[in-house]
Amino acid sequence: MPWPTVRAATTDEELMAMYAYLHNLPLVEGPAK
Amino acid sequence: MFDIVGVFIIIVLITLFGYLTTRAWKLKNAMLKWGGVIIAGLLTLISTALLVLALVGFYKLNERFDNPIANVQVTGTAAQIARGEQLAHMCVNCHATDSQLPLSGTDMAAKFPFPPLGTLYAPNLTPSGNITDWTDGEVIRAIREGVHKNGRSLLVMPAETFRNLSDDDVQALVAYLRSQPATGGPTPNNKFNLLGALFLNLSDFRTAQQPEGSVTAPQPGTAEYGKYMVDILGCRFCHGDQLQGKLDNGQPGPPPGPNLTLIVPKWTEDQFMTFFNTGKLPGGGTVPMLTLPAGFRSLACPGRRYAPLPPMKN
Repeated sequence: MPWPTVRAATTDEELMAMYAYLHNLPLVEGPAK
Repeated sequence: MFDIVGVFIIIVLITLFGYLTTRAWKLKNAMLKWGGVIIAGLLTLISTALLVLALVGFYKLNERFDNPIANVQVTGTAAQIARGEQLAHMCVNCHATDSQLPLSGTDMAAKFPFPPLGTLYAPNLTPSGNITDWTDGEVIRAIREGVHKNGRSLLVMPAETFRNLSDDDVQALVAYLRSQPATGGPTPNNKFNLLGALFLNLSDFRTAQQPEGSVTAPQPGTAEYGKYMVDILGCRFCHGDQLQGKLDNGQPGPPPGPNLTLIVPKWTEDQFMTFFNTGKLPGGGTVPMLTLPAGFRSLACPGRRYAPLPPMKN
């Protein structure tokens, strides 16, 4: 979902909760370029 | 849903190529005979294969699902409508021509560069649109399970994401849909042509799923709630199942997003908020405002298959 859509669909508190989740995720190796 | 003209044309082609094959078989010149048999025979086989694939596609299009309909009547409180309006922004890319509320429907072929698969509309969800005579339970089933009122699968509907919506949130969404200003009339029914049926058979757009019970959102303000939001917003479509990122390798599917497990842990909360408020990255630069809806590339690129969804957990 494009970031402006995410922004429109979330409150500040929800974005901060998303940050709390994403910030603490363990590193997962992504696909190599 | 059936393209009788398209099917008739392909049957005529099969008959024609079959006739030419038999004619070639009777030729005395060996080169003409075998050349004609091989070419006309191949065309006969290809046409027949296309017909079979299309017929199976039409079968899938018309397949009915008997997912139970919840006996729910949404109250439509002011708080529900406000929450629903916020969540409805998740729907604007497909259900609004100008990507703004209200959700008055979109001719997908006009908004996006679709191949000519037939008539494909994201329905008008306002009170004068397509779900006026649907019960709240039927609307909830459509959102979370991708099943039309008539039992058919809703094509392209990202129910695999919206099935994560909590009972409260999906009811809020319904409350908002009912509260929108009546805008326009019902959009036309979707109708796939022969090409659409062929593509459908090469892909699997069945979104109908049987959920197990209801969904409750975690406590707001927690990381668990953040995961809930990531799930209902469909972040994994573009960023991968583990948010490990995807590369644009030319394969069908949603647009590729970067590895969030690598990026976000390096950001501060302020940088994260600034990004979503402005699109500006902490290191400079901006992220373009993509408008491609989830699932779109999979329709344009029929090779993608949706894997069966696991049972929904409470």
